[in-house]
Amino acid sequence: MIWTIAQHEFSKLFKSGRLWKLLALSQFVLGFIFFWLVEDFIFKSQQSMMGSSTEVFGITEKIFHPLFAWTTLFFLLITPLLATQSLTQERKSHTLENYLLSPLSAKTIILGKFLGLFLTQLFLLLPLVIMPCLILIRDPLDIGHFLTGLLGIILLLGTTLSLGMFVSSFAKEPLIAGLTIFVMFIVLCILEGMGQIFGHNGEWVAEFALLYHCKNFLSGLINTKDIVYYVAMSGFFLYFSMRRLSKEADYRKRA
Amino acid sequence: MLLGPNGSGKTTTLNLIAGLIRPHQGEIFIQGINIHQNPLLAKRHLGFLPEHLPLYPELTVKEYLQLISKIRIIPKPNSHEAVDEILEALALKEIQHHLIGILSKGLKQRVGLAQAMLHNPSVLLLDEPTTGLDKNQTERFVEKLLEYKKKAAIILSTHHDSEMGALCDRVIQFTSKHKESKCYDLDHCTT
Repeated sequence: MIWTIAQHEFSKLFKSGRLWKLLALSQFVLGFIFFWLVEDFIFKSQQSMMGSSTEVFGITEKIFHPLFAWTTLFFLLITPLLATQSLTQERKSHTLENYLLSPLSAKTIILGKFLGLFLTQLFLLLPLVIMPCLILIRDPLDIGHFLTGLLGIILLLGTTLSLGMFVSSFAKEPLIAGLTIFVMFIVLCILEGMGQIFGHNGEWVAEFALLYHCKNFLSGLINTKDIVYYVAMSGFFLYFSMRRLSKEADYRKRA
Repeated sequence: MLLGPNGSGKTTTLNLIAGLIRPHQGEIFIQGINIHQNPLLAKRHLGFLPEHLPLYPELTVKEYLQLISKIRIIPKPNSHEAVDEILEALALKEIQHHLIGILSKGLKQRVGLAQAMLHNPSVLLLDEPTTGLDKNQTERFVEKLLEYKKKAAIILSTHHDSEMGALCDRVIQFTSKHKESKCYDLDHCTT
């Protein structure tokens, strides 16, 4: 049943045309950044060959590391759009009743919607997978480094989506939900900076920051602690989304 | 039939019965199952046509009903049959491949009724089912409900009794001033 809901979520975005627009946007933005980084790399390598620069660098480090960082930022901007579709938009258009009137548990509904939107995010990430293939035609690439970075982004996307779904589970207006999700992303990102202000004592604050745990992945390192953080955060927000949806009848009474 | 002016509590009552709102006090049983204690089991016996139709405009009529058949957990061998039967019964076969978003109000209402009746519920709740329908559409709508009434209990709300009178055995009249309700049998209602 989870798969049925996931399929519906995914195909609904396709059929409404919203997914195509988002795909075009992601293709344009990520493609533009990719070619800008490739051009910069070629320019620097030419300088290096002419002896005007002594800097030593690799393709993965100079192209994909910054590309992943830009991709992360891009998805932090579009995830609120996707997450508000999950529950707030359905609540507003009264289609949430289809699920509320069905003999499905809140757990099934939330996991189905999460899976559908997560697949959507992965679909939007496709251009990022095509880009290294373009490089591989002519030059070698550190595939391990690339895949580790990709894993970090996928884990981050899952976490941001579950956070977005949590906000979406109680928000009534899509615009308010989108803004709230975005503000929460910003807060979770600046925790890292706040932790640094307090020096060594504030390290635990930085541990809660969203992007803090992505850095290792982008550098090509897999740390179990980072995986646990993203999985735990996703589980935490999904659990509370389920709790909120199972109490929908109580909140409707107060509306 | 729940009869009364706007704001008298008809929709709230139906939402309470459907388990969409939790009551302050009292209990609601569907086929002997408490809807708020065991909602997943009780909802198997319930079909609801809400005031705001829960339709996806980007899906075709058939795609939508197929989705509903899945989320209402109709067993797979029967689900295709159930969709075909309801399309036939509500004369939706011709427009089964049309997008819901482009349908007229009357057709959308019929699709809404189809989703409510798809799993053959023993209790059918209809909130203002004839709103936006013309006279002919209303008559056809009532005909379908009269057929369905033979195998299920139908609770419907309306703010005028003229068109749905043929359908009801009992009327509960809601009054907005004191939020009270009175129960009549059909004869009393129609006189």
